[in-house]
Amino acid sequence: MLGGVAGAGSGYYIATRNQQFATREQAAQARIDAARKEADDLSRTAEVANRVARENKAQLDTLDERYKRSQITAEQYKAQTVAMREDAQTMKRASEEAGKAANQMAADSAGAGGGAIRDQAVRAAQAKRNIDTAVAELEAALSRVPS
Amino acid sequence: MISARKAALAFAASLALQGCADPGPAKERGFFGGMGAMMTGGDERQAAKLENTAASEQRRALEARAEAQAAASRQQQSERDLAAAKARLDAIDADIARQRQALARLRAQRGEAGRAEAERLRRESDDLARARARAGSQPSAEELQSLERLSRALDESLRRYGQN
Repeated sequence: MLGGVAGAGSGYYIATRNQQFATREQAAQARIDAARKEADDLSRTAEVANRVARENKAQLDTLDERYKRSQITAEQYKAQTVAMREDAQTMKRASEEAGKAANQMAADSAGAGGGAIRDQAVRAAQAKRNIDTAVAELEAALSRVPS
Repeated sequence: MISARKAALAFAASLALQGCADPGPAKERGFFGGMGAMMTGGDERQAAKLENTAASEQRRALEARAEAQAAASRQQQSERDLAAAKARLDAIDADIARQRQALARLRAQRGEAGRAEAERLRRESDDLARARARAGSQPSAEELQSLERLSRALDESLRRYGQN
């Protein structure tokens, strides 16, 4: 039987590496398929993270304006940003998972089906950078919130 | 020694039993076990377990947030649209009141000479007021545009009447 050791609580690609296969060919194909699915999922995560960050920034602009016009208090302003800070934490965790997946794929790309896995590693790494950008922009916007 | 018929029956029975029991995920089975699992759903559960990873949880959490934000945004847009429609209706109501006062004033100024035209303008004003009443409190965009068009036309008629 062929297979690998998984990192607990990680993404689909790493979890799939745990599976056992009858032949090397089956294992290689399954790994390529899993890498492609993981990269697709991470790209979607990055897209959603950007959407959430963009919407949060728009809401923060509105809150900032209302605060400057004394229409809301600092406490009310801060209360409205609790979910946004949780979003930033969720995005950071997603970025970590994307990093783990990209690193694992890059490490696996030396083996069978390496070229195909390397392509997905590049996509996963790009997804991580996109998520990081969303986090950075959201945190910059959140830094304006009065303490 | 058992007959070929009995052996065939025993094999068929064993296949049927395999079909009833859940043999678990594919990696723990041989080829025949794998075939049996096509009926048990064992692979679907294994796939679902793999899908339920930390990364997918984060994606689902973000997707839920994006959906909640979109719903809130739609709600806010709906409230803005309602407020804008109400403001336009209020403006039309104010127009109707202003136009009636203007017509009464102009009619008094023109006297008998402008009576026929004043009567036509009064019917035009009444048409606008009836259309406004029909539109109610939540008119469609087309109804609002139609009311505003009628109001502008009446303003123009009043302007011409005042110049003559």
